[in-house]
Amino acid sequence: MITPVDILLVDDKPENLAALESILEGPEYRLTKAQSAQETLMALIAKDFALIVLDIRMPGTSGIELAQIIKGRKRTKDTPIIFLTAHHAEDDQVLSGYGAGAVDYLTKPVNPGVLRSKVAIFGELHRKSMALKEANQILDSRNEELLAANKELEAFSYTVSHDLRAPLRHVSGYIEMLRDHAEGDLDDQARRYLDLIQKSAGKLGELIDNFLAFARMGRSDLNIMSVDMNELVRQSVDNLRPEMEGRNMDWQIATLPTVEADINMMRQVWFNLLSNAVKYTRQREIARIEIDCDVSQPKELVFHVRDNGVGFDMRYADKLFGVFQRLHRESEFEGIGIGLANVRRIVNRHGGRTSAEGTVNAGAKMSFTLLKPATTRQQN
Amino acid sequence: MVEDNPNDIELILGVLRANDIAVEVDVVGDGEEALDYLYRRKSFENRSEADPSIILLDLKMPKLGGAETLQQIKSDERFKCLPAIMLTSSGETQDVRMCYRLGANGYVIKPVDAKQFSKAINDLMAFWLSLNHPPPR
Repeated sequence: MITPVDILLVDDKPENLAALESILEGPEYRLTKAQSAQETLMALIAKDFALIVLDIRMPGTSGIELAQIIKGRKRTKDTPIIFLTAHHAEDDQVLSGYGAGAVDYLTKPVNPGVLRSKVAIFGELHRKSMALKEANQILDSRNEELLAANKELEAFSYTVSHDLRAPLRHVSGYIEMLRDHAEGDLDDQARRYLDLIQKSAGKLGELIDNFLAFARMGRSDLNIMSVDMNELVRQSVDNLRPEMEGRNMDWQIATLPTVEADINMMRQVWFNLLSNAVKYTRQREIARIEIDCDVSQPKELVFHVRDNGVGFDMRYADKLFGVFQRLHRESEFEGIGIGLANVRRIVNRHGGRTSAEGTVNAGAKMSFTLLKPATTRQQN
Repeated sequence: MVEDNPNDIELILGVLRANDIAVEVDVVGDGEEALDYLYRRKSFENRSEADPSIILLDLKMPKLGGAETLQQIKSDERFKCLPAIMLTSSGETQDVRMCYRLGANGYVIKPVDAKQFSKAINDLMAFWLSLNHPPPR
């Protein structure tokens, strides 16, 4: 069912009003009638109308004067008016003074079909703009809720990670002190237990530190500048040299475009993606890692990192970018599962998306998009 | 040492001892006490003759926090030259920046790893007590 739109009909003669009413009768409109300027203004104070149909010739305040009053008021200045005029030639000049669209006219005697279709257009316009307004309001309030929730979550995660570090430091510290203190009294088993406690404390510390860095990254401002992706990839590959020692690596790196981004964050994206590719190709005789960028899309650049490593089961693809999510056992591949979560967060903050494709034992393809820099966009 | 957490106090003292950093350490529990100590007020009326050579300050403390304490110490001509080292859990950029702006002479983030912690304190004390020429007392 459609909500009826409000239309105000203004004419000094009751028989004309009755005629207009019969032409426009139907469930899509709610009609209000006014016979004088005063009645018109009273009606306009009572509620908002989608359209006013106004007789130009009225005793006392004329339709033209009345329209000027209506257009001069903030609340009604955007309400469209259809003038009804007997002699359209002499009123033409006056009417042309109004902005297009806001004012229209019809000559008398009124052709019912023409009036109906004109009114229908304004009615539809009103309905659409109301729907848009409502949608915007919902969106605004959702946005606010989301911002507030995000802020709370960040404050929470900061406090948690921060306060978790202190007791952990004590566990770690006192194990060392116990070790020194009880040196001669400990047997191998006791020492092993201490080692295990120490290792777990260290692991938990690493988790907290990473979580803290992750939370911090969500809050820090983006420092956008021109970034040469080729250089960042080169740096990441260089930093990964120790991991690749003694391994047979086949890097296929295409020429990459320059983007507008936060350089430190982008450096982290490449390092995380490439260190994953290096890590998960460890068992391959020849590890092949391909990096390229699809520049054919109108608005965005799509970067890909493909490898021939252990891959993953596509069923778990959505878990891949979650915080502390891992698809491999610790004993197979080290790590705590924050690398790709960081990648997603950084890419999202730059207005891009991340995705992954993989097959178990047949490699993975990690992709992320970034907006094309404004200058390149214009050239396309 | 200005530190409210008893576990941290013992740990720091333990590390200082283990590293044979032969110093006398007086410990107070918050910023207010630290100022009472420096100005010989209340229970510190009869404290040792000499002022400390170095002050270790925790950032997050009850009552008067580390930053406010630092600010007060550094705004007094008498203690301006007293090296103040922040020893804290917070690695937040704004915390670090604020402390240096207030005149901190060092900022150490307490690491979870006990060995790192020991090394950090050892290096720090070595710097202020032997490598570096400290301000005269």
